[in-house]
Amino acid sequence: MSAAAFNTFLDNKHRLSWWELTPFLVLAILPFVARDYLPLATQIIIYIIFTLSLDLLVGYAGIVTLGHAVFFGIGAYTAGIISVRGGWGEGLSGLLISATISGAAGVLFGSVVLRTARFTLLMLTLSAVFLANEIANKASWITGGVDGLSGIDIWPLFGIFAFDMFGITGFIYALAALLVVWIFMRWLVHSPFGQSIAAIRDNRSRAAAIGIAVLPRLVVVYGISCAIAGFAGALQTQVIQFVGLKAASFELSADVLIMLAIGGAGRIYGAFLGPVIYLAAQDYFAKDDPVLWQLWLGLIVMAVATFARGGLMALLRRTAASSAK
Amino acid sequence: MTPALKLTGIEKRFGGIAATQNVEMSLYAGARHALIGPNGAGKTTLVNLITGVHRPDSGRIFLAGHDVTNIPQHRRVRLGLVRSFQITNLFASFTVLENIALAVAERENIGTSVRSARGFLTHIADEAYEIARRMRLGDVGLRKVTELAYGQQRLVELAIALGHRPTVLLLDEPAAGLPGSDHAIVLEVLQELPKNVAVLLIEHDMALVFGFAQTITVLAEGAVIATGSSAEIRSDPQVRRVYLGKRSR
Amino acid sequence: MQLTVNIGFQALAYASVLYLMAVGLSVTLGLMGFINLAHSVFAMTGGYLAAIACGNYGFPWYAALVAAPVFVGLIAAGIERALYARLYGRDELDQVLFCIGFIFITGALARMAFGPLQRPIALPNELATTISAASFTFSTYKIFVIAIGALTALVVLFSLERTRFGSMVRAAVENRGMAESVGLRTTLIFTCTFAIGGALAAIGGIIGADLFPINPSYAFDTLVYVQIVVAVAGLGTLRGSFISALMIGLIQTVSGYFFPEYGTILLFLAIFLFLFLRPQGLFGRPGVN
Repeated sequence: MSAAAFNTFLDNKHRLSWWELTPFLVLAILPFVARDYLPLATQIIIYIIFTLSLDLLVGYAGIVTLGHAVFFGIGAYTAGIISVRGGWGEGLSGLLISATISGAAGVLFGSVVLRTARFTLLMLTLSAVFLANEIANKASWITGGVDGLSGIDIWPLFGIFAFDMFGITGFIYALAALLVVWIFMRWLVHSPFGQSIAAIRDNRSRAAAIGIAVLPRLVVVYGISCAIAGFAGALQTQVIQFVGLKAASFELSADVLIMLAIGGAGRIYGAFLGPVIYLAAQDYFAKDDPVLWQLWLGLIVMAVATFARGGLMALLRRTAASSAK
Repeated sequence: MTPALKLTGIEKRFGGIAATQNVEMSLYAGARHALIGPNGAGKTTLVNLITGVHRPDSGRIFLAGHDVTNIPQHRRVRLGLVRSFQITNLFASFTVLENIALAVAERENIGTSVRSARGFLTHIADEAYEIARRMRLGDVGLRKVTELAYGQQRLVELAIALGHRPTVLLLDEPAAGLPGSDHAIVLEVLQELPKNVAVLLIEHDMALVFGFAQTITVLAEGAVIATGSSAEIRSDPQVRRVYLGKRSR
Repeated sequence: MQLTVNIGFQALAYASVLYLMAVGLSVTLGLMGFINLAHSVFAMTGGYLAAIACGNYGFPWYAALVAAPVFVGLIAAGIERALYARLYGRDELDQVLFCIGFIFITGALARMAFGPLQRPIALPNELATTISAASFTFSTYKIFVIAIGALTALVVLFSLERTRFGSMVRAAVENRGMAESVGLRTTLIFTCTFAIGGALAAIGGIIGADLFPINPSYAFDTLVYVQIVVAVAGLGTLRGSFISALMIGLIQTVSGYFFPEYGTILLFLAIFLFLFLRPQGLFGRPGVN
C-alpha cells in the first residue's frame, strides 16, 4: 500500500465511467426511433431532474423530507405566473428566475427546519406541503386555484425554435436541461464538499467533531436541492404549458420519494432509473385500471422498503459484484 | 507560559444531578495528562464540556488563552481542540483512508471546496496515508471501516483525531473494548504522539495510564479529588479509598 | 357567549375523534421509534367494517362500535408481527416508504371492494337528535362522541398509571434496553399496544365518520391530522396527545367559524410555527427525536 495507491483508488472511484453516459445516448436517439414517446420521455426527464434534487437531500445528505413538492411547486408556479401574469415568455430566463426563487425559499425554509431532526423534521415538511397546497388553492387570483394556470406561452427559444405540437423542441429543451443539471450534480457530489455532506449523513456528531459546521452546510445543500427542484417545476410548466395544484401536492412529494426509492438513493443513477420505471409502468398499467396500478405500486414500494433496500441500483451493484467474483 | 488548555470552575448539572463540580485544570503544550476515576465519575461529561457538546452551567474554558466557553464545537476543533470517542464513531460508508482524509480536508478548509471532482485533493490524500501508516493502518487503508476488526477501528478513531494536527488532544478511553493483548499497541501509538501536543487521556487501564502519563487527575462524582504525578497519585490514600481496592481495569 | 359554547363544543367533539385516532400512534412512536404514517388505515378499516355491517347487514350500531375495534385490533396485531416488526430500527426512509406503500395497498383494496364513494354510517335514531339545555342546543351524537373520547382518555391514563401493563409500557418507552434487561418482554408489549392503538383508531374512525368520511383515500386524507397531533404532543409522552388533540381541534374549529375562506391555511401555519418554536412538542423531552 502507498499514498499512490490511495490516489489511484480515488481516481477510480470518482472517474466518469462509460456506462454513466448511456442514459443520454438512449435519450439522444429517441427522437429518431420512437417519436410518439417524446412527450412521455420529456415528462420522464422532468421527473429525473426533480428526483435528482431529492437524491441530493435523501441519498447524500440523509435528510428525509415529505415536502419537496413545495419547491417544485414554487418553481412551477413562478414560471407560470411570469408568463401568464407578467407576459414574459423567454424560456431560459424564466427557468433561472424560478430556480433562484425556489432556491432562496429553500435556504429560508432549510435554516428553520434543519435544526430539528427525524420525526419533527418530517412533520414540518409534511405541514409545509399541505400549507403550500392550500395557499396555491386559495390564492386563485394569482395561481388560478383549482383550475390552475393555462395559456402559458413560451417564446421560441433563441428566437428560432418554437414549441411544436410533436414535442421535439420540448424534448430537446428538457434534455439539455438534464445534461446541465447532471454535470452540476455529479461535480458537486464528487467534490470535497460532496464528501463532507456524505460524512454528515453517516455520522452527524462525528462530523461536528472534525470541525464541520453542520447546519450551515446542510442549509447550502438544501438550497441547491430546492433550486434544482424549482428548475424542474419551471421546466414542466414551460413544456406542458400548464401548472396546477398537483405541482405542490403531498401526492407529488410521495411519488418522487417512491421514484427515488425504486431507483435507489445516493447513487445519482437511481434518480434516472426510478422515474423511468415508475412513469413507464404507470403509462402502461394506469390506462386500463388505475386502481390496480395503485395496488401494484403499493406492493412494490412495500417490497422495496422491506427487502430491496437501496432500490434497483443496489440490486445491480450486488449482481455486478457477485458476477465479478 | 499560557496553558494550551485551561478550565476554571466548571460546573454542570443534569436535572438534579451534579455531573461536574468546580473542576479546575491546566494543560501545557506537550502535557501527558491522564484523567481517571470510577465509572460514573463524569469523565466523558467533562470531555463533552471541554469540546462543546454541552455548555457548562458556570466556569470558563480557555484554549491557548482564548475564551472558548461559548464557541460551538466545530469552531473549537478548528482552533486545535480535538477528541476521539469512547465508542467507535466513524463514517461508515467510507474507507479508512477516506475517514482520515475527511478530517485533514476540514483542517485545510477544503471541506467546502468544489475545486475537484475527485473526492479529495492529492496532497490531502497523501497526508491521510502518512497518518494511517504511522498508526499501523497502512495495509488496511482501502478497506471500508465497517469491515475492520474492532481494534483497528479504535486506531482509525485516533487517526481521524490526528488528522487535525491538534494542539490539545482529548482521548476518551482509546483502549475501551480491546482485549488486553491490544493495549500494548495502543500504548506504543500514544507514546509516538507529537511532542508538542497537550494530551488528556481518559482510561481505566492503569498500566496504560502509568505507562503514558506524567500527571494524573482523579475525578470522583464530578469533582477533582487529587492531581499530581503518577507516583503521588499511586500513594494517595484518598485515591485508594475512592477506588476501594479496585485493580487496573 | 352562544358562539363560544358552540365552538368549544364542536372543538371538543373534533378533538375526541382526533384523540382516538392518534393516541395509539403516539404510544407506538414512543415505544418503537417507528414513524407509522399508515396508522389511519386502522381507523379506515373500523369505519368500513361498521359501514358495511350496519348498512348492508343491518348490524346494530352499538354492536358494531364494540365488535369492529376488537376485530381491527386483532388484524393490527397480525400485521405488526408479520410486517411492521421487520422494519424496527431501520432508517427513516424505509419506514416512510413502507407506510406509504401500505396506504396505497389498503386504499386500492378498499376501492376495489367498496367502490370510490363515501360510505356513510347510519346513526341510531336516539343519537340523531338534539338536546336543549338553558338556551343552548347540542347534538346528542356529539355529546356521545365527547363522552367516548373523555372515557377513553381516562381509561388510558388510568391504565398507564395504575395497571401493571401500563407501567410496563411506561418503562419500555422510558428505556427499552433497561426494560428488557429486567425481563420485560418488549416484543409482546409492542404487539399489544399496537393492537390496542389500532382498536382505538377504529373507534375513532367509526364515531368520527361525519368529520372524516369513510372512503378509499381515507388514510391519505387524515394522515396529516393524525401525525400532527402526535408531533404537537411530543415524543416520549404518553399523556400529551389529549391536550394536543384539543389544541388542534380548537384551531380547526375556530378557523372554520371565523375564516372559512382560508381553509386549513391557518391550522398548518400555526402547526408549523409551533413546531419550529418548540420542536419537542408540548410534553416531549428536548433532544428525544
